[in-house]
Amino acid sequence: MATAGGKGLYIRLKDGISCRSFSDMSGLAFFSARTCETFFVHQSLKRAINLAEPSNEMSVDEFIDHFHDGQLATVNELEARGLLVRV
Amino acid sequence: MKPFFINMGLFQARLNDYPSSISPALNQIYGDCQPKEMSDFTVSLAPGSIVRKYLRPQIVFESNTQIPFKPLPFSQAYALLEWGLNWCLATHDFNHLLLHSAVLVKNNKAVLFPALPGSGKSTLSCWLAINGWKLYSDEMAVINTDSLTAEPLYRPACIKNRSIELVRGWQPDATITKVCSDTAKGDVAHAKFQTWTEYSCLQPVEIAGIVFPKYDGDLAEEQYYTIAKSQVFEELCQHAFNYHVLGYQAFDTVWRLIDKVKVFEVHYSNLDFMDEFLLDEVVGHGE
Repeated sequence: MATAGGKGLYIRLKDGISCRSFSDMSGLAFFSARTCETFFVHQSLKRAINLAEPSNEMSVDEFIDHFHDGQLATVNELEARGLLVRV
Repeated sequence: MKPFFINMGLFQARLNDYPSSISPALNQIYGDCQPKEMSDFTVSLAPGSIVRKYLRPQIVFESNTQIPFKPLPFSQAYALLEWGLNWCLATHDFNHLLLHSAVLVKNNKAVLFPALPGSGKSTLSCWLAINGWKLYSDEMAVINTDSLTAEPLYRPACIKNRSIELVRGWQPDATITKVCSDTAKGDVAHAKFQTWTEYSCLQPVEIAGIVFPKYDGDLAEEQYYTIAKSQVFEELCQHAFNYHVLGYQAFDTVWRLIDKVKVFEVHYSNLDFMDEFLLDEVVGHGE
């Protein structure tokens, strides 16, 4: 499982990052206030992801479960891009 | 020379120097506008250099000591002025979200047409403007970041190549400037579809839809699709002139806009179809 072990069980938005999902559940958009960059995940969602506030936390499994074809690779890529952090 | 005041509605440019050859076009397009007391930009069109004044003459657009474009042949002076005004708005208005998009309004609802060059956006805009729609802008959607309404601009549509004759055919008495030949975009002219008096009655309106038009003359049957909103979001971020200046405000505005409106991609060959489609699917038929 992706979340085996204590550390990294939960994820949250990195400080200064905003996240939005769309009403047609077509994906996610992230915005970095620090670099003014926007990043997209074009994967269909089962339900809206509530990571509106940087302090909101969500388990990795729960995050992946929001996507129809969710993969740990999505979390890893978002983390590598500095959008998500594991807590 | 007496300055010419170009009142574009939300903004005004004071044109200090310009060749007399563009006076007819200036008067055709902006001759009826009522100048405001204060101008937002000071611009001029001047010869490139003393040598270039006589040898293959060139013209330079300048705005508040900045020269954003390379000199162009003297015959393209009016087109250069319009492109320069676009540059002034795109680089100085940070109070609105500016999208590279046409805006057409009917039944008090706006449709945005953010499209790549060659998609037939300006030709479609002109046809709709001739057929009962209000042209709020041919080039730049000016969006209020709080109310998400589209603001009207008093600017002409830029028509190119074969579209010039098409527009003349659709409306023989249309106000169209003299054609500037051999520009980077081919032959270019500017067309106006409303008077200052008509423009003055326009109000900011709610945006009802975003349509990506794709003209294909060989198409046997019109096709339209809804597009994933996350993809439209990515497209619009790329079409925003001032996204990086507004930062989070632009991100949030584009998201709120996309999440509340209908979004379509339409492949068409028949302009009547577009009118019907927009009324049926986007703005409604009114009361």
